[in-house]
Amino acid sequence: MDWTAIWLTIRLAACTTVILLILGLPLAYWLASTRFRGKFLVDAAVALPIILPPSVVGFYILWATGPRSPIGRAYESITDGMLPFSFPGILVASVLFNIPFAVRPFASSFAAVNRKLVEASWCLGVSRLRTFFGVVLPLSWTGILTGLVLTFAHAVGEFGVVLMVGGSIPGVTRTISISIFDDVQSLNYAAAHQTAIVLIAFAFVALCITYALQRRVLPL
Amino acid sequence: MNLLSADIEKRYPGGATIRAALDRPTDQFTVTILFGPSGCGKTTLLRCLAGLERPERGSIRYADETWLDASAGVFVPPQRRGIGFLFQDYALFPHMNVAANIAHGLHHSSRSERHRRVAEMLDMLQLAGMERRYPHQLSGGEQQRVALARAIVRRPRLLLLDEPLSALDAPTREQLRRELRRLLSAFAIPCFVVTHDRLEALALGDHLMVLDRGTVRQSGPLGEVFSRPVDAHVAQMVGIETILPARIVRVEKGLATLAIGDGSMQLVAVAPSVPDGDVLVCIRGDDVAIHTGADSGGSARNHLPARVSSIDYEGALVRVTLDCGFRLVATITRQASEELALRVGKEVIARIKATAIHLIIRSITRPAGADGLSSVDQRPGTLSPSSLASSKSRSGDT
Repeated sequence: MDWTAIWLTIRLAACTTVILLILGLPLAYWLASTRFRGKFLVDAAVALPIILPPSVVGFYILWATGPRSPIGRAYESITDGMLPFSFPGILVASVLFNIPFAVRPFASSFAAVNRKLVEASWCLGVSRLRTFFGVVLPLSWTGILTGLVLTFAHAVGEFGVVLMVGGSIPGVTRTISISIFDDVQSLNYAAAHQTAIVLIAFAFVALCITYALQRRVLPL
Repeated sequence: MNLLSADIEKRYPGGATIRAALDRPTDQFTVTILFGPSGCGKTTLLRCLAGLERPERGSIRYADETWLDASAGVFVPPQRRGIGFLFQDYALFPHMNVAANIAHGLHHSSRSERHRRVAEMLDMLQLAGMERRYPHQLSGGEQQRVALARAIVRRPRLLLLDEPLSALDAPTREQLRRELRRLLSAFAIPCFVVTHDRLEALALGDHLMVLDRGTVRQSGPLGEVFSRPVDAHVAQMVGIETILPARIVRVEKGLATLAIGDGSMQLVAVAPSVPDGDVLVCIRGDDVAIHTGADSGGSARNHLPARVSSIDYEGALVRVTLDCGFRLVATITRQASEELALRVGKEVIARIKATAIHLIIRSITRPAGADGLSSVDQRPGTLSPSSLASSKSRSGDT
């Protein structure tokens, strides 16, 4: 069992989930409540990573963050390192690739909150921000939790984008799925089996949690 | 006198446009009814006043504040208008109990102040003992009272009610129709009420604005709009030609005897389930029959000697205004009018069945020190519902 890879993967998935919670909530709320006519463009852009092959997303992230790109140069001047083949690099990739898995469940649970409740709160003199935390969030937390579980689980299992951007540096960018790939390449099937079974069990539990949340089976 | 003045135009992508102008006093209790069929724009107008919709053109001013000036880009959000809004389905927060719902808008107050004001509301609206219940554990009438408490606990300057009774079942609706006016007058806040139900309009309002297809067709004191609709279309929408303030003097065998004006004129009607003192008498023009000669037989309980004061032709129908000590409108066919040889000044008998007289119980808000009915001008033929509107309220419509 590759414990280094497991620990790295958990860190990657947890950071991805926290970042998408912070960035995804406002974006999702905007998507759920805007009357902007170009909203469909943003919806489409958010959903892109679901359709695109990971290699395409990975390639462009690599290209956009490479040492010759403006982002890469800015990053290098600040941190004296580079994004590709580093943990921050695969974190950026993971966040971008997981946007739809967080934002879409968030947005659909916000949209399910009766608009009249929000308006009632505004008419009571309660600010938009306070209405969001006092009315919208408590009524949509199952959807938000679903989004977080899906994001975490998907980030744990991500392979293509991480491989493209990070390669396979043990302890830095070698996640569980890459570790399995390496084991298979070196014909170490026993090790591959062990890690793969852990991943299957984990994915199954994560999906059970999301479906139970949606059907309100869990006494939360 | 301070005014709420609005002159707005709200366009919808679908093509519908709502245009409305109004001027209503803000420093006295008065209930303005926005009345019309569904889709006429009455709810949109209410939402524009609340700041929940932003009109493309026009302005809204409340006393010396500007809430909207579309040309200057001024728009005050609902949070800063100091209003209370009662939603059609009450929009109670399902995850909060009654006390938390009522206290939601009081986050600026101290904890003890919040407690005190919530307790005051629970007491005023007979909700004591229910503070720990959740909205789904309340009846429709209780939900409405919680929503009202939540709206007025902040002491708003203007109360906006969107179809306040339509979410209730019929018996509760009838009961609350009687109570709501009393509650609203106790708050002493100017109100706007959206409704499509003429009984609701009559039971609650002082001033009536009739809307249809996005425009205001008529605006005036309640009784005046009902009794003198500006055109046949409004007449059809309001549907009740004669409205009189009256007092029940006795109830016998299920029939109520009503005194109109100083009591020299009486009508007999089916007694209401809760015989209260003051009522509004509603008579549709179709239910008034006109006879010549002194024949007093037949099933109708009310035979009123009257004089024809005007005759208006509306297609196949004739609208005959009668003076029988009060103003009474009859709609009859052109043929009947010709057979009776009706002309202005002719003496006739008006007959109304007791079952055709609809009574609306309504505690009449009297001006201080005055008896509401005795203050009505009682020259024959001038006891009109428009004088009702000025006597029963301090709304200053006149």
